Amino acid sequence: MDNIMIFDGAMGTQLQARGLKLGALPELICLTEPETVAAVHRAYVEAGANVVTSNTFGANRRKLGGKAEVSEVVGAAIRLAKSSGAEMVALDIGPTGALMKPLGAMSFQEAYDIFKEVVIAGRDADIILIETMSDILEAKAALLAAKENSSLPVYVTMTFGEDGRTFLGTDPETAAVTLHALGADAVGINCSLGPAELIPLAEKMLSAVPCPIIVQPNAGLPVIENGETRYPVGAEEFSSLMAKLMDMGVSIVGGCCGTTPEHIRALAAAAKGAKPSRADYTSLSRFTSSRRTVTLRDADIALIGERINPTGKKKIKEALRNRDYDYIVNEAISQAEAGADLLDVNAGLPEIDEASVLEELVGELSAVSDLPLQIDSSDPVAVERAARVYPGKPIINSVNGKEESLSAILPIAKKYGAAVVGLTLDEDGIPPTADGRYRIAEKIVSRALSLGIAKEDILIDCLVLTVSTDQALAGETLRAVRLVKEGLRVRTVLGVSNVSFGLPQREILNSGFLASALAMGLDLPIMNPLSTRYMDVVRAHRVLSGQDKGAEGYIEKYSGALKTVSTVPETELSIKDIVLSGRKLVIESAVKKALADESPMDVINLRLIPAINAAGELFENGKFFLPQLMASAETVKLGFDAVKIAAANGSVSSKGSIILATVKGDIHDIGKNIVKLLLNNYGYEVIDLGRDVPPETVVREAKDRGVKLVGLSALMTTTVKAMEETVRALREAGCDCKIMVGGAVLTKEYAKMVGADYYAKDAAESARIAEEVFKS
Amino acid sequence: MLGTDFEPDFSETLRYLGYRGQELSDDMLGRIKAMSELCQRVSRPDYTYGVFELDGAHLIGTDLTLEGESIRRHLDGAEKCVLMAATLGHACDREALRLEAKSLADAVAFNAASVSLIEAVSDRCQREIGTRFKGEGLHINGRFSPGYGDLPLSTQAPLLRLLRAEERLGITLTDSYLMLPRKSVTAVIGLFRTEKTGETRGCSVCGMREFCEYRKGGERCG
Repeated sequence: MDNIMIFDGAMGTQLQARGLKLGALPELICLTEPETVAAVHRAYVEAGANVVTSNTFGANRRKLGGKAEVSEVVGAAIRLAKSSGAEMVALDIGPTGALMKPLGAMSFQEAYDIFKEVVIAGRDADIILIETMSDILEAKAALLAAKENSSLPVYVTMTFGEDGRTFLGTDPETAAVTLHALGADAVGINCSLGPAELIPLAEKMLSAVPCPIIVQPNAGLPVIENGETRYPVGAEEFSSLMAKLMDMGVSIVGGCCGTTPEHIRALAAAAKGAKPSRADYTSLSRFTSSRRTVTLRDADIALIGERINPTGKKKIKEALRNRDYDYIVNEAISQAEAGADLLDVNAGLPEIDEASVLEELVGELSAVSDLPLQIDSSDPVAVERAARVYPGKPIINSVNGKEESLSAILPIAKKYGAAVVGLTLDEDGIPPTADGRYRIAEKIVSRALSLGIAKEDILIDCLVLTVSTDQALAGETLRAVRLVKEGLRVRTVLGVSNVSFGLPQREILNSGFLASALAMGLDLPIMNPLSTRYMDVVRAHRVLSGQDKGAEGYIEKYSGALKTVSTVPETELSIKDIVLSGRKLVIESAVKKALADESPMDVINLRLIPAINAAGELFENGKFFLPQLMASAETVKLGFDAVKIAAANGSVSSKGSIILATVKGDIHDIGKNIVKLLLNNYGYEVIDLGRDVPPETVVREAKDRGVKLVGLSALMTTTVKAMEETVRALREAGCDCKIMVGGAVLTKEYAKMVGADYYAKDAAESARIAEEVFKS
Repeated sequence: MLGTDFEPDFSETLRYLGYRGQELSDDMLGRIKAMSELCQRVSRPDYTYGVFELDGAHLIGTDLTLEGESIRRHLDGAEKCVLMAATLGHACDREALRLEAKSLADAVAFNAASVSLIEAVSDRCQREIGTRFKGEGLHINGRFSPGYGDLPLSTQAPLLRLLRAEERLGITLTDSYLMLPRKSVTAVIGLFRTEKTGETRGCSVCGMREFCEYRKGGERCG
């Protein structure tokens, strides 16, 4: 077969066989022993490789660590590869070696810049090969760096373990869908496993995307014998397994660790006899997070959780203003547990920098939730920033029929491979009739198609208006859904709950409307999955449409005794006893009961704070250990929330503001979070700057907010230095705040040494320090 | 990847939480147990190691020379040394992050369980090394990690590179030499012709010192 492209085999193991020291940077050999590298390339060309890969896997500024310039190493490596006489040369780009935020410390932009430097230095190559990626976000940063800084074709491979996932949890289908959507010219798999293990993984990729698939396995799973790593699959076995992959439709092949020119020679021979027959690719609507693909087949529907939206939600507004996302992360977790398939994310508040908050929020949510996100904003800048750093293929919500919107949003969707929701409104507003909305939908679809956006990635929202103003409106929306489905053959979205605006018992109307809309062909309802009534409708629909095969999900949910409606349990226990026993379920009702006779501040000062004090004392005396103190603190926090919700605005005052931060270099912040919870319990407002916080940020916030107390936490002996720098920076900037420090490795002596005012050996101590500071 | 037959030692988990026989409600006990099980379920324990000939503190055939007085003592008289790396994987860190947003009480229990699980995985690796070299008439001593005594934390970089720990286990380093996944352990173990006695003990060589509730309270565990 002529159309199979043969890459070379391993470089590293070949260099080691020629005397490269273990642990040395193989890329530097391009400068010190160029002839050795050239010899490896020639051996592969002679064996039949069409493409040789430059010796630049780790030639980025982070891994070279100043031992040589990136441009120098990459330039030399490309020249050596070209000198081999290969038909084509691939610029090899491996991972940066640093983990990205929020699990790690590297920002998207830093990773992008590192890759960009390599891409520019390797501009004389014929192909860019981004390989051995385990983080889909890092692969995305590299792919964007390649596409934005060169016009070469880009191939991207990720590496999977025996459980079929990368170290960061991405599966092959999700990798292929995401990278293809971003415009990779070929996607695939390399390293870690042998060809036999890669067959089922490659199969998943082949059916998920239409682009060429590349597979470069190791010579089997490595075995360690007498301390030496050996790859057990020989050239013949390798090539016969690779023949199977090529017959399945894998059209770009090569080898990774442990493969030799002999493997490639056998592979090239096998390629000549390959009879590829790739199964037909079916284009389906697919949305991804970093760890999951949501696919819509036939009459499938998927629920988009609507709750991450500040409209009418005090706590989400507060969380967005303070950039303190725990509350929002919890909204994501509870919607996922309730059965949402995707999550809408809206950070539209006029008083905040929406673009930067949405960008951050998308990252935080993606780290803990594996549901694909729908980026919801009317600001093209915010949409683009969020889509850029999102580790998957999102939905963008939304574009509309206005020229301004079409020309701003659709190119972003195309560039980042996102699906896009089109609202059926334009310069003249929302057409009252279904036909009017259909015409706008038609315009949006044709514009999107003309930009190369796939039909499966276009979702139309026919817009729900409240029936409290005009009862004919609901019918027009439903008719529009049907017209769009039948006439344009695209999937549809609706924000269901608008229908009942202004009417009582909205859930009743909404669920009735939901059932009707689903019957008309609605595919993606945007709704509150925490409502059992809506979920009942959805589960019923899934049985009737056949999506719930054998009604398994339905039976699992509803068989057996009908669950009684849970009511909040009543309790006779005092607030103090509830707190000390950590009974989160009953604290709210106990607080509400107390509020009937007492003022909000009295409930806080005479009940909640004494209760947490008692827990703190038990902890001090060794009668409580940490989880017990935490359980009490969480209970008090819920009590506080209950008071705040019940109290009128302004009637609950904060005792004062405290800044908390984990210092630069430290990315573990559970200790700081414990302190924060306890200080909240005592009525302080905590401004949490998060982890890995540079001194200048602490100084700026301390000055801007004029706080009286700053708390710094450090976990590692190595980052105590950063703590010292932060204290010094605060003093030099003339901040007259007090500084308390804490953390696992800190001692009283250390605290003194770094120049802090107070040493907090634990969270209870920090509360006492705060009391002392704010008393004065 | 290893199997899932690892379990966090529950009494160790309680110990890391500072438990000293306080009265425990069934509720609290159940909660900590649940976190311990969750930790086991989400973790992907794995380890790797490599053996190197020694010339003093230089690992022959590599570009690594171990620095400092304490590692010299640790390897004094050793014929060879073994470098090891073990990890619970990123999914464990991700779960910790999720729990920190959801419930700190659960998060601290989960953290303690993951500390005892990574200890169990490291112990398993160490035992495997011990068994393997027994056949060659060699005895192992304890685990000595970068950051203990005066062995610089920056030793993590060449150590992980020699083991190809990034490719094999997914362990990466931050600029301040923190390992990610957080629940990862690296160590140097000596191989001796005669059995080593008089092991170095105490907080300075304990893998738990960054998390230990006793140490924070100024106490020792024994």
